[in-house]
Amino acid sequence: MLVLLRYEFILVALIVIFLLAWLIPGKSEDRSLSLFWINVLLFINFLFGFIPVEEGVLFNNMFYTNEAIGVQKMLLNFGALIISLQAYDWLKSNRNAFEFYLLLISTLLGMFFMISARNLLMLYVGLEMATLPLAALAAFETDSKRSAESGIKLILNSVLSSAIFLFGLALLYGETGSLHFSDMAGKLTGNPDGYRDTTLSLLLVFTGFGFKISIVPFHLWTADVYEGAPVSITSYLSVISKSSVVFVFISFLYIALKNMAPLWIPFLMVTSVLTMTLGNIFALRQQNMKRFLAFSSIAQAGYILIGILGASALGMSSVIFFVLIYIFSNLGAFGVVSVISAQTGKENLDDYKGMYHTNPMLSLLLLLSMFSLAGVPPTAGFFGKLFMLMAAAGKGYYILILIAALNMIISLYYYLRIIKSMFMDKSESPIAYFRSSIYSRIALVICFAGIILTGFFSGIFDYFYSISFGI
Amino acid sequence: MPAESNMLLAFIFIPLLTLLCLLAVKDLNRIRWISAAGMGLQLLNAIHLLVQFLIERSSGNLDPVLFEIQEEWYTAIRISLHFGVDGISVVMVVLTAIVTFAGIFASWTVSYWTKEFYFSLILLSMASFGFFISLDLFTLFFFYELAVIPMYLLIGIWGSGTKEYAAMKLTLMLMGGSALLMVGLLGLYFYSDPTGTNYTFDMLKIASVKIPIDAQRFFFPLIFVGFGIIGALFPLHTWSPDGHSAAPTAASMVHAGVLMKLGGYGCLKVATMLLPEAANEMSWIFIVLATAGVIYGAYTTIIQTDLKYINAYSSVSHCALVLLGICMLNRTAMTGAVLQMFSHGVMTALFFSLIGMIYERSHTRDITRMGGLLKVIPYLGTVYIIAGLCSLGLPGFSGFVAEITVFIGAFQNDDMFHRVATIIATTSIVVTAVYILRVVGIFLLGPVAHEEYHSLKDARWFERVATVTLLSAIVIVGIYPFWFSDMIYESLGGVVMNLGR
Amino acid sequence: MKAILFYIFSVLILACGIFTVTSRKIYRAAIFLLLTVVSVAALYFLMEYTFLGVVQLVIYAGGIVVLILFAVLLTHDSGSLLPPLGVKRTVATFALTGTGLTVFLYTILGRKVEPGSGEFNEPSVKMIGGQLLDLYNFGFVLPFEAISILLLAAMVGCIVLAMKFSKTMN
Repeated sequence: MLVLLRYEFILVALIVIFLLAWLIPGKSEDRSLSLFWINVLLFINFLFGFIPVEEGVLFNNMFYTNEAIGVQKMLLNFGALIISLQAYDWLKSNRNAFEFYLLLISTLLGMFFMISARNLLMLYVGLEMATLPLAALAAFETDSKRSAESGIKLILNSVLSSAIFLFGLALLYGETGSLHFSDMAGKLTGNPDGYRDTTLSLLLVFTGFGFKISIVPFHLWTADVYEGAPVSITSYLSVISKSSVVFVFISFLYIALKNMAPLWIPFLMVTSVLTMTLGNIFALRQQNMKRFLAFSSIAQAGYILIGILGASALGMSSVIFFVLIYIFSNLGAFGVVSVISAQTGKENLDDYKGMYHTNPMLSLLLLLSMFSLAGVPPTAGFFGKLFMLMAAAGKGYYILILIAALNMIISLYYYLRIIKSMFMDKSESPIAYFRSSIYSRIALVICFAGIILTGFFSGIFDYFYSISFGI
Repeated sequence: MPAESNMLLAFIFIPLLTLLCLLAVKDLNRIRWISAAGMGLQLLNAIHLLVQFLIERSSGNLDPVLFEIQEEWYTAIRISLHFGVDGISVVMVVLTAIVTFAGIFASWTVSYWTKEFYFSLILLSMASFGFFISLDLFTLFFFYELAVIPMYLLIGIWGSGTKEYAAMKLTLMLMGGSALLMVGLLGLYFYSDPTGTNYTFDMLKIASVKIPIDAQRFFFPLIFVGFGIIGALFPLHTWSPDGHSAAPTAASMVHAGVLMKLGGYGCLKVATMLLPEAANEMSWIFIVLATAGVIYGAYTTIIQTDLKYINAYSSVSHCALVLLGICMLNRTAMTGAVLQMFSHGVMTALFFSLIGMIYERSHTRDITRMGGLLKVIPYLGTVYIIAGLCSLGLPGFSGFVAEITVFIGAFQNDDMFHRVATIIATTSIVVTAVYILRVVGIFLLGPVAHEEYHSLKDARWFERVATVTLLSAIVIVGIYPFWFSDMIYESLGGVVMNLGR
Repeated sequence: MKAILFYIFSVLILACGIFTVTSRKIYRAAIFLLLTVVSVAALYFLMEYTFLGVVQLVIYAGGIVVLILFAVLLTHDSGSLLPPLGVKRTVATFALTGTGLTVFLYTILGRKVEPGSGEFNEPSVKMIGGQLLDLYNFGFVLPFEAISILLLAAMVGCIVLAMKFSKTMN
């Protein structure tokens, strides 16, 4: 049991440690030492992921784990570590660093339970645990009104979506008489008589998922929340939170609803086209970098849906692979935005003009991140996107991937706008040269290396492929 | 064949090493010389490849591709690093090496962010090399997209005029092409194995599979148009004049000289060879478009007054001739098309380098504001005239060989439609002569337009290196065309066989 | 007898529900909500779901509605009238709820419901408690523990948000 629940136990231990450290009186104002140890602990937590995971079931199917789930958890751990490193500059001056980590780790724990769930109850509990503390985190900057607004918007939307989700789950339970994915798969056989009920309950469940992955038309909360929240939380929401729900969405579709594919495939097709197109169109007009990245991440979610539509081992592995790359590229972009925001407080696209003159390394990293998000070689994003589209092509959805490919052109336009701003535009007052802390630099270098190298080391993808499954 | 195979890998590793060395240095002269040395080595390597290829062929080695090297890459989905060359690839590789080498010297005077400039330029050429030697559609597509992106930076940062607009337009249009292409290539992948188990991106394997005609009808236009956009297929050529006129000299050279050839090469070796049945069925559409492009490009050139626009529009015309040759779907016309790719590549690179050099001296590209330049800068002027003569297809230069082969091949199709298209396209020769002579007459000949022109210096050594390299290629191919045309002709066997199956 | 009670409570639920959303005094709306919630609990009792009924009373009536009432009382102007809905909003609300209602009615009416047979044995509270912490026989110990961590996180979150005051003091 200890072995199978390893990831979760470590996180609980971390929570206990943070809680105790939080309670110790007489803390100095200087946070750097404790932040150092926190990051070391998170790093150790990440390293534990390299120990192979066995397949196993605990608590009567409430908890399931196998190699693929281990990899997914490890990816989330990794992303959290990077975000923690990037948050150093910001947390150093914040009194509530311990609380930040406590909440962060709780959400991570929730995601782990959620990913491991093969049962609707654990799925729901995990999902709640993964989102509720995030609202507190989004409102973490207690003296900023925007941050408070972001927290309120996040919690209202997540509660609303949870309610819809829960209603859907309850109906599903009513129809199938079971909470377990595998039993449900047996009952949900796509029998046309039962379609009417199932359609409604699945629509509600998908709405719940849709809110969390922020796919159109359930995306309305995203931009405001992302803009108001502290940058680290924004990146956490857009990368870790989203990826974890994507993982569990895949298991839910591929296991519980494997016989219902004719029902959910059209749904995913329509939403993915909407998500890509609207995300891109809105991203075109943004001036604030965080808002811009918010919309770009909505569009990325659309591509992820296409990968899921592949419904094969290729589809699942390409999505996991894309998430890895997405962690590198989006966290690279957010990392740059985050250090600039922490150093200068500037968050607008216009502020980035002429940045290559003053901060060449940051500009280059942002350039690579943008290319990777746009899916342009030699960056890893090219491989990630192409494999997802390939998965969909395997099912013959050529028109869909044509739409996706044309959307990539639109997205390229706005990614190039950022590059133009940094490399081609002149500015009276470019962002002055600065050196960020060693922590953020480590994080940025990791992202940099990841963006360049991930695509070329085919072993990573091959490994993901070997642990993936389809319908 | 380890030694020869390494030769192919060197086409990627030499530029890669050059790029890494560039990262390490700061000094301006070192940057230039490292780039020049790297690309010089690459040129030698290309010539070596050419010689080795001819030796192998003359010793009776009739494999469709030589110097093959294959490494597993993504084993799970059977993507491999598969390189190898046939005659067409060799010609294209030599072209790329020549143009890039000349491009390095033509941009000797770039002083703004020199390192970044050479970095992008060499990255661009590396991508082209990779494209031409790829036998795997995945790597082919990888290099294709890789080639487009440095162009954005080259035009946007070092360009002139409406550079940001031009850069964006060019990039988006070309990436739009690659979007269509991607769908097509994925389609090829999933039709590469009728049994549905061992899908592959391997061009040689796909060539031996007969893809269902319905699928071909869907994918052929996607792939042909996808490649056609970068090959300036009318009416999707509009990125070309804007892009080329805004680009810095070396970028125009490599782009017009090499990158536009990616399109022709892809149309021939991917679209036509892998989807031959659809090519037979649909070539008429592209013949119409290509003919329109030839005529449109030629006539538009007449009214241009900006040197770069003149060359850009004439490129549209010449590149449309390449596509026309391919669409004629017979061996002679295709040989002509490939020859035209080479010929146009070196010729247009020469033009662009000369235009850059002249612009640096006269500070204008408007021909009506120049005059008598031949008197003050005789070397550059003479080379321009020679390039012009090549462009209008004078015997003795590569242009003549290429165009005449295309037209002879085109005439072999003896039905009404092909005849009419060919005859219409042939009139472009006359028009070309008109605009070349007009341009030369206006700005090279006649009285010297400005007093200060008398103080202009003629070509410096590095400019001579650039022009002589390109000029000798033109002349050599013009005088001994059979080296190339034989190589190309025999390499087209696979395509022709597929077309006739 | 049961049927009469059922209809009385159902009418109460519907009426109070409607009053909750139409009342323009927020305090009254909250009280009507309380009545709705209590009536639902009464339905549970009627169906002999005592445990569920108690949970409904304790959590919804005792916890949530009282919390809402507190919040209402602590707000300024809680006695004044809420602004009336505009025509646009009324139409939008009706359209939205109408669509929802139609979809649900369509689904529910399309379903063949057969009356259950046999006696209904309500599990005792003791059994439920045992089940919650059971490790083996379909026990719910894992969700139980997970929720306890969630509550811990929620508490910390509340403290963080409420700590604002002391921070500005320093």
